[in-house]
Amino acid sequence: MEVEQFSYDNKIVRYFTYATALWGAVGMLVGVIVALQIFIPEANFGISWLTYGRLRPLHTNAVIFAFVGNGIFAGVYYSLQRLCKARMWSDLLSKLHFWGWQLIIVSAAITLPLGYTTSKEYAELEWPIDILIALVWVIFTVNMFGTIFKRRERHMYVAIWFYIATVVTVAMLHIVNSIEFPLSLMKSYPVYAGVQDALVQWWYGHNAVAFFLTTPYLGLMYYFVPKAANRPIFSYRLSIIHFWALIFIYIWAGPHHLLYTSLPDWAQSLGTVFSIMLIAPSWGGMINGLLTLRGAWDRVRTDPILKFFVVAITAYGMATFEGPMLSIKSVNAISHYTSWTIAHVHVGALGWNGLLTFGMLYWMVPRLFKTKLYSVKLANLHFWISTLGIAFYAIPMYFAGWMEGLLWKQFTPEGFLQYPNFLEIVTQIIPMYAIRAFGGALYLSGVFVMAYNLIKTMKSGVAEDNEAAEAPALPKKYHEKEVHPYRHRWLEAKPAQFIVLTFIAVAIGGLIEFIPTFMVKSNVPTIASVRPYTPLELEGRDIYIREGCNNCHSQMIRPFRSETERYGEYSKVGEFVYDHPFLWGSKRTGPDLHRIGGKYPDAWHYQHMEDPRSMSPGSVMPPYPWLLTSKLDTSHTRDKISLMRSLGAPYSDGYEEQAMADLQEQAEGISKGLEEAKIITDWDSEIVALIAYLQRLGTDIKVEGAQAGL
Amino acid sequence: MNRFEDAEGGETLEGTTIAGVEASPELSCAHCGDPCRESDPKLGEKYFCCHGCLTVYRMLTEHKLGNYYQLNAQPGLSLRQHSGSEKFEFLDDPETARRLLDFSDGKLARVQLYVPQVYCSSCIWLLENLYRLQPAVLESKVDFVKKEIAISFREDKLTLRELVELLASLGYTPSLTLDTTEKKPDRRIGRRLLLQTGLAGFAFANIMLLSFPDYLDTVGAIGSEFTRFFGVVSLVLATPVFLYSAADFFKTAWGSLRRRQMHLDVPISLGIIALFARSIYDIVTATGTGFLDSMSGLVFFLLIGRIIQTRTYRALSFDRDYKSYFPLYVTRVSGDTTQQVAATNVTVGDRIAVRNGELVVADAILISSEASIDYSFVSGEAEPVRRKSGDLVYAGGRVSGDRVELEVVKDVSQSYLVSLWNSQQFKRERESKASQLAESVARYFTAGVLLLAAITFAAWFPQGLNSALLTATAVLIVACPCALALTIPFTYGTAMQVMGARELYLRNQGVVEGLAKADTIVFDKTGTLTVGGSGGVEFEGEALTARERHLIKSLALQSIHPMSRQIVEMLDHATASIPQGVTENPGRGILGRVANVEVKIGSREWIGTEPGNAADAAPESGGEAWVTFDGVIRGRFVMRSQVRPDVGQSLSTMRNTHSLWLLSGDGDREKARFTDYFEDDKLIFRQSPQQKLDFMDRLRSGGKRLIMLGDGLNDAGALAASDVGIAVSDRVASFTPASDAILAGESLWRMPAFIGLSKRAIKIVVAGFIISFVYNFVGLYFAVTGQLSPLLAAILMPLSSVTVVGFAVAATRLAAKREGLI
Amino acid sequence: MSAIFLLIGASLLVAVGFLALFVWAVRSGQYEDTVTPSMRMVVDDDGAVPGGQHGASVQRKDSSNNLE
Repeated sequence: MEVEQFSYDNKIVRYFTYATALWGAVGMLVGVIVALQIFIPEANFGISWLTYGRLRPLHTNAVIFAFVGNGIFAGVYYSLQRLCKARMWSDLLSKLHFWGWQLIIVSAAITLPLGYTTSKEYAELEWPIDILIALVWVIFTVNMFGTIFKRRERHMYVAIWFYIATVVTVAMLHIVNSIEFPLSLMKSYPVYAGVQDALVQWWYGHNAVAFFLTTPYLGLMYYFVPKAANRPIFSYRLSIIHFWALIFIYIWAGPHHLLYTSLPDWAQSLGTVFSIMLIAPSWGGMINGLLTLRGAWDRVRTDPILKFFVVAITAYGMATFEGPMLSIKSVNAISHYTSWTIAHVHVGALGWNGLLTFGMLYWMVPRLFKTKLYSVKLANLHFWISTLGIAFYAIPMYFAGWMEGLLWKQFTPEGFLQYPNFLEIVTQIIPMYAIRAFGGALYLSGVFVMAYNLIKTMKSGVAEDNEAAEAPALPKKYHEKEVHPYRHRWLEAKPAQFIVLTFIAVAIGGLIEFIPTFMVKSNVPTIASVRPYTPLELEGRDIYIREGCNNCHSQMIRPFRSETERYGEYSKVGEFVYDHPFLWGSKRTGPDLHRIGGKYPDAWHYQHMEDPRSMSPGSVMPPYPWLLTSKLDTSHTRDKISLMRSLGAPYSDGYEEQAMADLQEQAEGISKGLEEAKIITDWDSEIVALIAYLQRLGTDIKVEGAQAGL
Repeated sequence: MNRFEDAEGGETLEGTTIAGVEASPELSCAHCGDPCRESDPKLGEKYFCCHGCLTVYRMLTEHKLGNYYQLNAQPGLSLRQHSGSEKFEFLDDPETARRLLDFSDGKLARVQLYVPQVYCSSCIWLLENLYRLQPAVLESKVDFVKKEIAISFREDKLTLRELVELLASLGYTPSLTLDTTEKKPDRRIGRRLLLQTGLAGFAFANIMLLSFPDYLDTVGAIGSEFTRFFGVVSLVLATPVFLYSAADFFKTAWGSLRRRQMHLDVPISLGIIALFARSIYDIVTATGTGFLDSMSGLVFFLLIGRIIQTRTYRALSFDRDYKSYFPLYVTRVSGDTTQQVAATNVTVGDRIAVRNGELVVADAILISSEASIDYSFVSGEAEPVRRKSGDLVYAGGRVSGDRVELEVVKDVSQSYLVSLWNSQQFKRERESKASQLAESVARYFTAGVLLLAAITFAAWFPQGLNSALLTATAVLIVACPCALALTIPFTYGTAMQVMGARELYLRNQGVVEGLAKADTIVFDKTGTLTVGGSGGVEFEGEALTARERHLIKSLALQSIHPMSRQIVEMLDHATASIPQGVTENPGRGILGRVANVEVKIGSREWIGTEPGNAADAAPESGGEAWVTFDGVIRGRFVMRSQVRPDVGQSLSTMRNTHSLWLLSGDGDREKARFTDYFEDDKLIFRQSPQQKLDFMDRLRSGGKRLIMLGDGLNDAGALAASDVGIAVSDRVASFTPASDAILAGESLWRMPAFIGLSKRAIKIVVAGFIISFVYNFVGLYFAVTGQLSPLLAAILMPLSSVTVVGFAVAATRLAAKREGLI
Repeated sequence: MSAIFLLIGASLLVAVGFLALFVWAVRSGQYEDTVTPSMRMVVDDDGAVPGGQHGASVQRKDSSNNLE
């Protein structure tokens, strides 16, 4: 066995680095735009695909999957090769991974503004892209494990473990949450409805945060912080312990996103309990990171990279402490639906993910180009700008969040709501929105400073695509003298055999999973009066989804007096059994809409959509004039009916035939009504369908003796 | 810890670390950082302290290993002292190779070597890049803490000897001693414990998830199908915990029962079994969700306790014996040919050659004209003693100076030192003295629990066998002494940790109790309490006149020998002049004419005198210099050793609580200095190691509980004979005989604090027991009255454990603060 | 709420997978030495950058958590 000469694939790392910087800028730019739109509706220039409802998902997706995603891949491809003393398993897969991922991002950037969305947060992309994601992810997984298997360093450094956790878990989450029935090329409906859909979604939503924004970054931290500080991690043992602790319980914390919703009580509390238990392992990582730098404070003062890391890790600590706090019911009662959540996630995203990524780039790029950083001054400048930016972002948002949380619940001594008009509260926090936008812009400007600095650095050096390296191949594990010849021999060190073991485990797991699912049927309590949507309402609902109304309006009235006073009867789990997907929402920039049905006349809705301020002066909701003109696309109505039936909606057999007629009848009814209000509109304009849906919302339980089905 | 680090490396390393920092780069060796002179070898701009360093530097840079010098400043090991004369021929002997190698199939071989010189990340880097220097090396991995390097190499391309010589040439000479070839401890026990704990933890986390719904469900919203589903899954998860993770508790319990003893694991096992059986019943009969979360949690916590309990200092060895120091092989001389033979095969009449720094393995007669022998690791005394041709040299002596030849007069096994070691006291089993405290508690506890369970059963029998069984099991469940079992590991563990930070390293937790219970402290020899040399010198004999002082000082000024320096210091008021015809015999003495008087200062052999009376007996410390004027003996200067700083203070403290003894091998010359600390009848001098040994046994049979502090291998007997044998050493990791604890010399003064902490620790344990009893009683109330719900158990069990653990750790650290150890 | 079965099942699946990983890691001696790897990864780099100042800091820290 000779010393093996090989080379590290720096090219792929470089590509991902470029992508990270580029998409970072784009994603944050969109972020700034929506931050402006939220208090200056005109900022969408009256263009449908620039409205807040469509850009906000683009922002979250771009930042999470484009910026952070590429950041992860850049860091993993750099560190994994070196930790394994091996080139990536297959250059082809690496390339496929890179271009595939960029393709996903581009298609997201196109489809989301066009209104192709599943409405599920961080999973808005439609099914063809979902499949593409799954494929690319598998490619990444294969490439990664391939590299690990042919590694030349026997010990697997803790960072690798975090990478593995990420790859495996994200795959599982993505697949489970993307189980959906396609209707057409760009439209699909989730298998589960209402509360179940919500549960699946937030189990995913939480773990997406856990395993896309946390575990991979902990891995990166464990590689780049010691490297940059040039000192070993404070306690390697601690890192191992907190890894396994994290892995064994993180997965369970999802349901706390649904506190006070119609989710069964015990499931909610479960989420809370596990979220709180998570503090320990999360802080294990933070403490380890900070204590590593403890001995290097002198260098921290001078080295911008370490500065970025210190603040990033601190932000991580804050976020992972705040998260569990927010999952405590009494806190959540105030924080939920408010800007508090926004502040919380941005401390994580801007602080932890953002700053760590920046530090990582500043450390990697000079090495990729065999040169020194162009300007340490600029890097320091960047550090201060972004830190300020975070402050300017988070503080006003926290404040806004608390205001919303409290004012919504404020009663007069006489026992009336202090602010019965939701808008009063909105207008009060507009200044905070403004400062937030400034903070965001500040942070964004920092990214441009970095881009300049890095480009200059690249220019000053020469990219080395294949960095030569050498290492002896791993000799196959010998068997220690004292090992008993028969016992456990087969298990030792051999990955292949380990896979067999996993396989058995998987089999057991599968059994556990499926047997009971067959023996029980859904036990969601149903309400007799709750009927499936009419064809017109179905279409209206899809418009609601297309325009991303759920980004600002919830459809879930929690059992608090303040909410029942303001919106009406609180939401029952049985009301959502036909909601594919659920549209509970997570933020109330505008009021809840679950009981909007019948609250205002059709004409009000018509004019409100045409120009919200005509109905509610000072509203920050953008106008949707195109709904008035564009024709309703009914080409899929029949299919929708049959698909909904297959998902459990009790439409009578052959109702498809009658669907179109019913749709037209209902639509004409509405347009007639509008005529009486001197509003002339075609029965087949989109607005009619939307009005139909809105007027239907939350009315079922009021209807008495309505027979289920049609 | 830093000084510990240096100690690891030995003096050359201390040299490098200091030099690396202080010496100015152009004048320090580019390899090892030792100071250099202009005359030293040079390569380009770089200076080297010796050709060894230069060679290594060349070799490394030629093999693209220059990085070694980038990682840390001048990380190399000085090769100046390194005579390069070590011979490793014996490694060619297949038998030896076989015993050294972990694995060998004729092509691939793997060996694990102890390389004390490893001291920084550069060492790791260099040693793990060996393959660049020697392609036949396939893999080399360093364990920094153990200072071990594991190397896989191509046997057909590289012999073990060549490998070792390569390491030696880099300055990383592996230590190959008699015990290197002995079987290494099996690592898989540790792994097993880790696995059991991991599995339990995993099951605990997940079963908890599946149980919470039931606990949290206030309105019975969970469908029965969930309860059943959760129950079944929990069972699947819990079974391996019961069968694998908990297995060892059952084993110990069963074992102790067979030995008619009551180990704490008996009630624990009972509890676990009760939990599991009861849970199966509940789940199968769908009468409840069972106690599986409690069970797996219980096992998990207990196993963590086990881990804490078994934690020890990987880097330290507590059972070194002469084997750890005796070389594997010695050079036998026959005529003018030399050959290497296994040390154990040296027989009477053999003629052996011993080089500078090597050990004499058997009692032998010195053939060479003279030699200076360093008995430090036998007797603990630093100063080498001189031997003339024909003198007897005891095994264990380390030759310093030129190579000497000796004739063996006793087999290795018969030699004084070894026979001492093979005497009975050493055979005593010293593995983890388990806590007697726990033992006694367990006995009554278990009996009580069983009795209570029986009574409960009887009391409930009227309500039917079923409910009787349920309540009886409930009793066993809550009575499971988890918290109890955790108290000791966490209390003693914390204490051990604190002491470790203050450089008292305990062999295991049992030692804490030993320290606390002891009523007698025995110090072997003055050396333990004193620091040699620092006390200056005193003149023995008629007081010196001013003229004599002038003569002596004038000559002494000419020598750089430490003794001379001390003499000059002592005579600082005396005048001095330039003597004529000064000749110095290094290490022996100096001679010259001052004012027409021939003055001689030096060792007794050189002066040529024989001890007249006892007072003249050479001090064990060897520090003496005789003075003659014109050949007439005038008297001698004796180096005075001094009580370690602060030790006097702590001696007087301990005197109030313990009876202090001093057993010394020396003559009672130094007695005066200790009378303030020891009662007269407890100062015993001129003790042979065997006498010390017997003395200890007498004390112990007299019902005394002993702490013995000593250094040097010949004290090992006494150390073993005591309840707690503490090896005092300034080179903690490398140079200690078998013992229960290793104490760094300059922490000796902390003994009272250490003992104090141990005493407090015992009290804390008792308190911890009481706390867990309280919990048990609360639980028992519910159990006996038949209202123990899974939820209650799930709360009670972790709560009690956490409280006790928290209390144990907090209280112990507080105690440590009180004792001034934190 | 059949969704819960799906979620718990899927989660357990992954969890058990990781348990297997854990078993393998321990069995293959990954955790025998929990000090050296962290030091190794710091120095263990062929692409040592000119000016990438390696300090004695590494050695300083080494001394801390040994004796384990």
